Amino acid sequence: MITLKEIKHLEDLSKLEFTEQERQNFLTEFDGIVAFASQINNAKVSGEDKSFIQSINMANLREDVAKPGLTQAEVISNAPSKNKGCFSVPRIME
Amino acid sequence: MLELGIKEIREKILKHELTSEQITKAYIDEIKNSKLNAVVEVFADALTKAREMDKKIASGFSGKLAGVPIIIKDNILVKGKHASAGSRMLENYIAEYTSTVAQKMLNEGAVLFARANMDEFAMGSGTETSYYGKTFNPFDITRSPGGSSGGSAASVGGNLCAAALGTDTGGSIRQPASYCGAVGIKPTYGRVSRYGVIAFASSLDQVGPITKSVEDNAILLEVLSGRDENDETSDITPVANYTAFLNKDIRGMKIGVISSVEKMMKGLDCEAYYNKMKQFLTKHGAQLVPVEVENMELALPVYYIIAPAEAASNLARYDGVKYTFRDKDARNLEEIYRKSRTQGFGKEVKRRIMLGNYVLSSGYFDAYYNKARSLQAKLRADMLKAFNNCDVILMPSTKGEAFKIGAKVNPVDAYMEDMFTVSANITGVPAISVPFCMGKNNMPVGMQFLAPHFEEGRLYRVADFVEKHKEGK
Amino acid sequence: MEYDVVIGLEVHAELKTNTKCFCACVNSAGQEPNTNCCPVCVGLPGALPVLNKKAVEQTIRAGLALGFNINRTAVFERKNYFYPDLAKAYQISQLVKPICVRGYLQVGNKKLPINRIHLEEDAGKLVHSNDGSTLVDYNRGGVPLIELVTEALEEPHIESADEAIAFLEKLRQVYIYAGVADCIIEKGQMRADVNVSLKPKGSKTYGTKVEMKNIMGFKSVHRAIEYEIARQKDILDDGGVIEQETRKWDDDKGMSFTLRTKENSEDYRYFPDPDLLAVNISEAEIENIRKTMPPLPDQLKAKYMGEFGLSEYDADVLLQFKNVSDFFNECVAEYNQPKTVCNWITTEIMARIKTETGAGPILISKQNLVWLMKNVDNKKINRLNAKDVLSAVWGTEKSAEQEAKARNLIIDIDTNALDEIVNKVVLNNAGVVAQFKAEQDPKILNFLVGQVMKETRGKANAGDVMAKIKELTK
Repeated sequence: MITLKEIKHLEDLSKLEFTEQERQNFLTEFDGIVAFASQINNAKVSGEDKSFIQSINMANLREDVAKPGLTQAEVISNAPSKNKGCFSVPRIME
Repeated sequence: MLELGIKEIREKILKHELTSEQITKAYIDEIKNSKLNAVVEVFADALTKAREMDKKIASGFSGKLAGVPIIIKDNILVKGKHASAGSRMLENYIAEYTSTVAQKMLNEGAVLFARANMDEFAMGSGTETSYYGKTFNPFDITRSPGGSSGGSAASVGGNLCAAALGTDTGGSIRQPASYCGAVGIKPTYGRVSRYGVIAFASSLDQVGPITKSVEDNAILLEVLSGRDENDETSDITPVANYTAFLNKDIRGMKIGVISSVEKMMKGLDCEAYYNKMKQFLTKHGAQLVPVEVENMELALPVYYIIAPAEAASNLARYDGVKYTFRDKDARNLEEIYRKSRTQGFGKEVKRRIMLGNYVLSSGYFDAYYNKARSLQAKLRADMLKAFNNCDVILMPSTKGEAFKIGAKVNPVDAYMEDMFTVSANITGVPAISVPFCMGKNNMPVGMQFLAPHFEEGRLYRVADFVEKHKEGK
Repeated sequence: MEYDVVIGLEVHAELKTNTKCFCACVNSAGQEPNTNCCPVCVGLPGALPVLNKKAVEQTIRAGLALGFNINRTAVFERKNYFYPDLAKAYQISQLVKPICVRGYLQVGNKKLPINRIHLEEDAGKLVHSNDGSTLVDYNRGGVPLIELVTEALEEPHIESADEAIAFLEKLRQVYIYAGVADCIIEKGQMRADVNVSLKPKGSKTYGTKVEMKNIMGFKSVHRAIEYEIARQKDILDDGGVIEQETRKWDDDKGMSFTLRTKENSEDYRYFPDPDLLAVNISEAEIENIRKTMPPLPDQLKAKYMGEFGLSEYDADVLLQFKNVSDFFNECVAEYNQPKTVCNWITTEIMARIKTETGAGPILISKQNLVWLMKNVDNKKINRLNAKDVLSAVWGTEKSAEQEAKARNLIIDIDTNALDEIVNKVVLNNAGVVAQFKAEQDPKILNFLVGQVMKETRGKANAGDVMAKIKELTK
């Protein structure tokens, strides 16, 4: 069973925020989804941690040759807030 | 004229029986009158582009898609055009660059004139989660067109375009194609570049054509396919001449059938259509071969672990800082993140981000993500083994006919929509849905074939035969 | 109470490549903000990373220079966290299968074990402005970095701030000599995180680690370590407990502050990046990199001291800067007199190029220096005159030989002519000569030599002149 505390933790990881009501509803729903996903627990796999990863030979990797990219205007063209050619956010206190 | 496909439109244009402008305008008018809500936006310069193409054709250009009006899903970028992936998050986003698939179509003369509605970030099976409203099925507007490429499939099924592009992560091309009476293919993972396509789950996403005929599908996939230096996961395997697989018989073809999949069909409408297909295939000289793929029923939960995990990470970049919606009341960075994402994403997207972060988080990673990846490896190995004994595998595309809009209340119910399609994504093999018959509610039903990696040609061979010889033809 | 200090280092260095790690943008700093960017390094929707082969090669080269094993399959993973300098909200890095595993660095008489080197991408830059905003520039985003992590849980350890600095300086030297990184500290091309733990002297159990992040410059690393050792000693002496935490070093205040504690430590949710493929590295490729490895500082030092017979001090001076030892090697190849070459370089050249923070470029060709050295040794030019010529040609295109000729400094006076001049000087200075004969005062001898040199306008060899005068005044 998922707890409210876990849901809150997932909100933190996801940078989302639910209202109390939403969180309660979500909890019920999420239990069902996790139960659904948990079907895999019963399956037996030999060589448990052997996941398939496609590979590439080093020789076929990208050559180290520069190509033109975007202009500054293009880079920040969709920025919700910009200044001096940069994306802008409220000052971060470190 | 509206029901014409890629091949006929191109031929008519090259023969000067039709102009790109005429056909593009006809589609635009049809979209304006359409109640399907299949299209999010007709691009303002659509007719200008069509006219330019007509001029180019007049001066001798005869690309494979010369003058053909094609709709792209709202997650495919064209420089200077909006692309929002059905989300409020990207409502005002204008692409800074062009996707490889769009560029390839433009190079062949396509007129990319509109973008199609979709489930938000391709998360959904009914085109019901879009910020731009639900899309309706062209055969019955009380029903869903399927999803997530529901706008693309409805546009093809509803004759709002010559053809459309969709993306398929767990069935998002094949399921709506089945529901809208269209041909849809999910190519081999790595066959088509994903560069410039807004990602849902990177290891599963593939772009593919949704078309009115198998031949159109083959023509369009040939244009889209090939190695792209901007996508490391795109494959170097040479692209086959897909149209060469058309107009052949299926005599002697070995069609794999999986008993565990047949078990999954029990009690579903698709069982009857599937059996009908088996009869059809044997009648025309194909041979049904039982093959076994263990844990097929787990492909769906495996998918609902891997896809959300990748999505949670892929969608983290939509943070209110660079190019997305930003909540105006956010006073500091943390609020920009939280408020923008909370308001910018819809419910299903949030659900999957939460699920993805759950299966990746410390303490759960091994039990969910790693276990799912191991099962995926096993499924893939089994699938490859199955293809030692058959040329293609037959499966239903969908549980039955298109469901009624609003019928899927429970998320897990909605997830079940992908039960027959996800295995192709999980194992990376190509799969096609081809219209086969009308169901009990007189809605179109498609059937699905799967082939070994990079053997799309086999799919076109069998699908083309089905299209040409099925009942009523 | 007495404690053992255990120090671990995580060192980031920007790799030398033409392009960024996962896109074809130029790998260079210092442009206008956001002008060296593309869809990939700005994390635009739909953009995909494509791994740079050279970055992998450079990482392997760094590993081989430090005795590492190279993994035959390397995997890239995503490290997920939100921060504005991280365009995609994840950093592509390596966790489970890094490119290099298990190496070491010899520092003094300690062979210090190193756990790993992995390849990852750098983040962009944040500028905190006074108008209440923070500005984000992605020019640096995606620059290839190698992260080296020492093996702090095995003997021998880095046990003091001095040793930590010696490690960093040696590491920097190795990277520079291997050609994998420039490591210009002021440009942030090499940065270190430090962790410190204390345990009762001789105890087998390790204490709680405290980490300090992103300390700029080696001097600050030294200060931060000393501060942390003292801080932990105080706590332990008072019977307190060290909290596992990450601290931020404030160089102005000379103190560190808690950044985050264990409870709110980040969960990075590492998983293999599905946009990238695992990289297969063949034995042949590794061997090829090994074969083309430039000579490393320890090898050169052994050669300088052994084959060339230089002192350890001289060898260290030559090796301190790669351009200096490169120049030394080139000159020795031309003029096989290592001690002479060493003397000229450690005096004349070093004096001209040494700056507060390093060494500037050597502005004389090896041909010019070799010509001067040879001709001094062959007594064709006087040493002082040769130094003047060096000054004259330094930073110019001039030839030392032509300059010496133009200044009429070549010793070409024949023996008869010189004898004549010496005889003349001895005759003209009879009083002084008599005094020298009586007192044998070297100052008087030098005066006489000086008179002869004046007559010859410096074109005689002073040693020869001195011998002749001695002969005449016996």
